[in-house]
Amino acid sequence: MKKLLILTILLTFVLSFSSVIMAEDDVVELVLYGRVDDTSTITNMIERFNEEHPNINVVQESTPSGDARDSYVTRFAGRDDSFDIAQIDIVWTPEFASAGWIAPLNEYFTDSELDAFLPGPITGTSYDGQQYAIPRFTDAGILYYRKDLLEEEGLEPPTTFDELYTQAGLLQSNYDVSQGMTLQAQQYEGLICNILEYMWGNGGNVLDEDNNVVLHSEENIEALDFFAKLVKSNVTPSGVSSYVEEDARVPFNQADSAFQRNWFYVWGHVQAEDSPVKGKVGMAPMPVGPNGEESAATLGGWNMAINNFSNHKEEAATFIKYITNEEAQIENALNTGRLPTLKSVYNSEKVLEEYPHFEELYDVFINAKPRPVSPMYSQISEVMQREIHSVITGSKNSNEALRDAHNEIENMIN
Amino acid sequence: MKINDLSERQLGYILIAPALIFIFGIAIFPVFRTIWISLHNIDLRIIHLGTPFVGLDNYIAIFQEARFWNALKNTLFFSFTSVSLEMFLGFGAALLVNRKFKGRSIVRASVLIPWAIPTVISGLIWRLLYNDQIGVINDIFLRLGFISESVSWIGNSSTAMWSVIVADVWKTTPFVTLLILAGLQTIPKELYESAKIDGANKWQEFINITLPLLKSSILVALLFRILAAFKVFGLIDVLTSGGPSNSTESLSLYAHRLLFRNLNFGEGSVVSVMTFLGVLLISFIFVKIFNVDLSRK
Repeated sequence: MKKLLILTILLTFVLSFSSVIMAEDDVVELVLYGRVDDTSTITNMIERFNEEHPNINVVQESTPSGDARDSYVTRFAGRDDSFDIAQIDIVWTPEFASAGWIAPLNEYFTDSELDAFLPGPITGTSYDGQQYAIPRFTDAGILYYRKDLLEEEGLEPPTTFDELYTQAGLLQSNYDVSQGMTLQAQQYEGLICNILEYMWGNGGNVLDEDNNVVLHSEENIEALDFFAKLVKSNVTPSGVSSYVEEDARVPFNQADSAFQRNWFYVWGHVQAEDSPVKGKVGMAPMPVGPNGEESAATLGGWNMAINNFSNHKEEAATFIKYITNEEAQIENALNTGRLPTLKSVYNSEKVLEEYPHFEELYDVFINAKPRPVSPMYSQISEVMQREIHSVITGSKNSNEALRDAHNEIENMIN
Repeated sequence: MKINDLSERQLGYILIAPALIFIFGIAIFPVFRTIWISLHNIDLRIIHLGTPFVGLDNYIAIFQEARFWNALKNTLFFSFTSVSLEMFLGFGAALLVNRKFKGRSIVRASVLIPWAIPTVISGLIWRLLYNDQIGVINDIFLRLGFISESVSWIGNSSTAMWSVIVADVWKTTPFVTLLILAGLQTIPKELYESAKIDGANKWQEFINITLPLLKSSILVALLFRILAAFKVFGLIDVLTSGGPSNSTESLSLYAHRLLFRNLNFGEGSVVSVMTFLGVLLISFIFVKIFNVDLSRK
């Protein structure tokens, strides 16, 4: 029995030891949890913030971006209060908000503060009339094209679906590029980002303003027909139905494709010193369909949210304000080339000097649309991924696939 | 009370208590917790519904999902095909590297390389090998004239599952080889010598000595491989992410999607429980019917 007693004492000692380490003083420790940033920009900003705010000490805790969602779900579901600020993907916001995992931010941010941001990222991070995350940098689907080849043909970048298809085929046969266009069509989230640009660009949508399912529409069938034609044709690589971002970027970057749909990160790669296409690439908005009025880009980007279980929400909001303010966004744009979320940064001379294309791309970003803002989004996306992939791999036609997806999503939401 | 006052039995219980608590905490408790969750409606997206007990409703819902049966079918097909190939090839390779030849130790070591590479990395390697533009496989097949234009191996529903199986066979055949090689080395040389004296040929030696004495090694390799194949996740997640249109989605992948993507813990747990029952059934068959003695291995 004596041994047992000793064991118990030992155990108690070990367990209480952990709290001894965390002996409190007056400084509030904030843990910023999120995906690894490949530059030191955020680290420098945190250091400065800590110097300027002696009562707050922000520390970074990183997760690989591929695992980010799983680790958030695990930590939030366990009501973990050991981190305060979460960097989240735009499409997770409604789900996390609806689950009660992230805190509403309206008491910390005024409406006019929120109005200074681009409208898309703000819509995408609000849920049920409340703001749940502050966009730190944004992203959008862009059509990259070979400026040199188009100029040689005397052509302007394509503005319609048909122009894109013909131009891609034309450049492919007239020049030394084995592909007309590359894009992302594996069965995964990126497929939805791609197809939505054609659906929106043709006047279609997934949910309407009152959250009714409107997926099975003439406009969407037409858009999906075009997308399937593009994917199945020889204009795109035969394996494009298994392509993710990097699979699409590499051939284009190696001067082997005339067009490419991808996110903004590609710009840094094509303009790199050793890039074979340096100086030969232009960026344009995605084309518009026969029934569409304006071009559409799918919105991406990462956002700062506050862990609802955190005991330091006030301080966390102070930090989020700091890291998303104009000065920080200019610095972030200059150092990382990431797209700012504040409208004013697009007028900043310093930024425009370094990135002159921000001015023309502003239209793309101001019009970029969030994917359906719904707590059910992941499941909506899954159904669409499966059905759309069955069309582009040839086992269903657009009409059937969209009808089936429409009905399934309708059952799920109601 | 002193230790001496305890009976041997009591002392024994005290000594194994930490291990038992540990096993209960990390193995038994989670299983029952998952079963408990599977009987409740726990959808983290709609918390206002609470977490009511719903009996077998989640099970009924999942059994009515075509996606579940598709995932089960994919899992069974994947397990059966890849494990059969792995056993066949692994056995052959073990017999080969058990023979004496020059450079045997290098061959033995290199056989293990695929096994030593982490699953996700080998998934990424195979993604590149299968690539339609820069992939080596298409290049070789084109040059040999097996195909007339490059094939999208993982982007095509008729080839995707086989592509996954090939990658899995490549990765885990060494595991089978290793277990069977270990078994081969425990067979006393004298048995073969006396068989020779009795005039047995190589085939008779193989059937009457090698196979019977390898029985437990083979069964253990088979059991481990089937269990691992039944739970396959990482390789498929990296290679195809379940596509094209769910034609490579396994049970574990489906469970992960329900749990972590859809935050539907009730239904996700049902799929986990079904996977668990599958694994339990397989283990039961092996232990009870084939008499695999895991403690002796």
